[in-house]
Amino acid sequence: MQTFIIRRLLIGVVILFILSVTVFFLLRVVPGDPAIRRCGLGCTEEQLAAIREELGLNKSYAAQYWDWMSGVLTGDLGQANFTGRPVSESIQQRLPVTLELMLLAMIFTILIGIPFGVISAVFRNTPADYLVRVVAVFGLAVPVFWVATLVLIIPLEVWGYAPPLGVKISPIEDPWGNFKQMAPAAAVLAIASAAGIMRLMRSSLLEVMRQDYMRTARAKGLKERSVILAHGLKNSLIPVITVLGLQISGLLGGAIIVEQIFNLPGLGDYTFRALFANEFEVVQTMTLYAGATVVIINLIVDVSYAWLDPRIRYS
Amino acid sequence: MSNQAAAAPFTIADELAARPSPSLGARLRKLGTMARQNPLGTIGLLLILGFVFMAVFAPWIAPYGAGELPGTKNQSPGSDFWFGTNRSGQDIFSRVVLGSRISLAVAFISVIGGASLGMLIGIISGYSGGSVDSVIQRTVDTAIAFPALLLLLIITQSRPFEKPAAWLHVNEDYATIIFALMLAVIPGVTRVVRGAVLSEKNNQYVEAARSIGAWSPRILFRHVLPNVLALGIIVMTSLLGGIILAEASLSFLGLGIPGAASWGQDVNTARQDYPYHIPAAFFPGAAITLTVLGFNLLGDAIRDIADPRLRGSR
Repeated sequence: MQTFIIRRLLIGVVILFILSVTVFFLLRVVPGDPAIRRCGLGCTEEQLAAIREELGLNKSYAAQYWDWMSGVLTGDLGQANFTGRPVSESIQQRLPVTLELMLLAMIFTILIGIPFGVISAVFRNTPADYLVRVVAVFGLAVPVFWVATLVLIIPLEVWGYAPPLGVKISPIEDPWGNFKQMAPAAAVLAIASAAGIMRLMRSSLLEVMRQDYMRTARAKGLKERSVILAHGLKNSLIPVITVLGLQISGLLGGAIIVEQIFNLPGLGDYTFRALFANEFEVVQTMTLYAGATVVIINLIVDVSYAWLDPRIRYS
Repeated sequence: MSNQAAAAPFTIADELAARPSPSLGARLRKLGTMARQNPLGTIGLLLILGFVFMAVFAPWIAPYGAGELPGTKNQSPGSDFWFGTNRSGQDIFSRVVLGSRISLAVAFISVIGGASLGMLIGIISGYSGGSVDSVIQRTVDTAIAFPALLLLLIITQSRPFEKPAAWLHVNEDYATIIFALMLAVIPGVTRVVRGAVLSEKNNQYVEAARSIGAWSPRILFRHVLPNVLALGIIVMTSLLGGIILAEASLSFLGLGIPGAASWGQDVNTARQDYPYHIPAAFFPGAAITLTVLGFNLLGDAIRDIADPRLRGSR
């Protein structure tokens, strides 16, 4: 188990290294001079040189990469010009918002996806099953930004209601206000992932229900309820948990859109604004953090298999 | 004696050719049976055909041009303007019809291009194995670990086609967005095709080809490719819906193709300033949903027919 975790962590480091180099070059080697774009038209050579100096663009790529990486590793992320504040300070302020958004979206995904998937499998080919499947198919087809827009403007136009927007409400001082602010955004963000989990849960449980041990459980006189919940559910969760882990990267991408629409001061919004302000180092850093999050969560997912299915041993 | 000699090389192809070709009625009945067995796939196909028809004949279907201002602002849906008018007084129905062109064209081109490249890379990765395979697979891992939307944003914002597009005389905005979406398609296709190649390459026909001295590219493209092509096409169908969503999201965030009618951009315009007009946000988004729904339903049906083991696996 330990060797497995260490090996996976090493692969994770390799993945993050490839990611960092790729993003670094995507943002730099592309034709078009960032200094010119930043300075605008009618820029003098001296101004350009000053900007290049300030951004470190006059150094070699290797030196630029080294400067950035050593900053990331030591936690010294420097100043961001578009906010006029240190990057690490902004991250500290904004991380809780995105973290809460992700966490709530995951909770919604699990609370909606798993029970309805189970209902769909247990009552397959009944109206309940058809309903769940139709909802899931639509859930995978609707654009997040469209639902988010409608969720904001329809209540406003019809009832004159708007959730608290644009300000950060602390979940400790005002839990209800915070929930009113975060829940709609998290629910919209969770639509696609919940729909995916519903479908996967259904097919996975149907697969398990064909297994011999399910027949054995029924034969020894267990109630149908405990057959499904104790024997079926746990065994059918493995693919579901794998996909839950993979959905993190989709949710992180969706957070950029949802934070824009619901005006939440989170990291998605920060990254988006940094990108438009041509703040390369900030975008690179945020990308790397997003990648690291995904790598770590998928490692946790892999380790959790051993708990779900004791037959799985890592060596 | 001579009869037997003639019978020996009789192949399946000859037998198929010898059969009377089915009449039109029989073919239609067969099509009807397939449609009845896959009602959802049929709905999906009809939705897609509807939208493709709409995109091809858009200028003749749309009563007004995309930039035309035929009415007063923010009208509700009615007999003059089926979907109402937006904040500038443009006909929403016309803009929805015209917007189908960009969505479908960009999605088709980038999925076909990306899937072809993905298949090529997947075949090379699976067939060569060793360090080539490792490097490709770690890169694919990286791409999959990465929020696709962030990658798309970085590529579209970094404008890699500022200069090449001018040389090639192509539209830079189209080139950029198609390139970005192609990159998003490649990793998934690569992974699936590599898996198929790994199991194909142990088959006897590969060994037979190698034993008569065929060189690797020939084995890859004459023997392995046809065997994984069907799989590639299945994956492609199931990716189209997601790519349409991705394109719409980029347009919504202001990184689409400027100047043209686009569903994503129209939803974004509708949410920008007070007073909001619900139809202006509703109809373009509904068009996206129905298109994606069509592709997803068709993709599921094709996958079920091609490989029943994959049923409902997404």
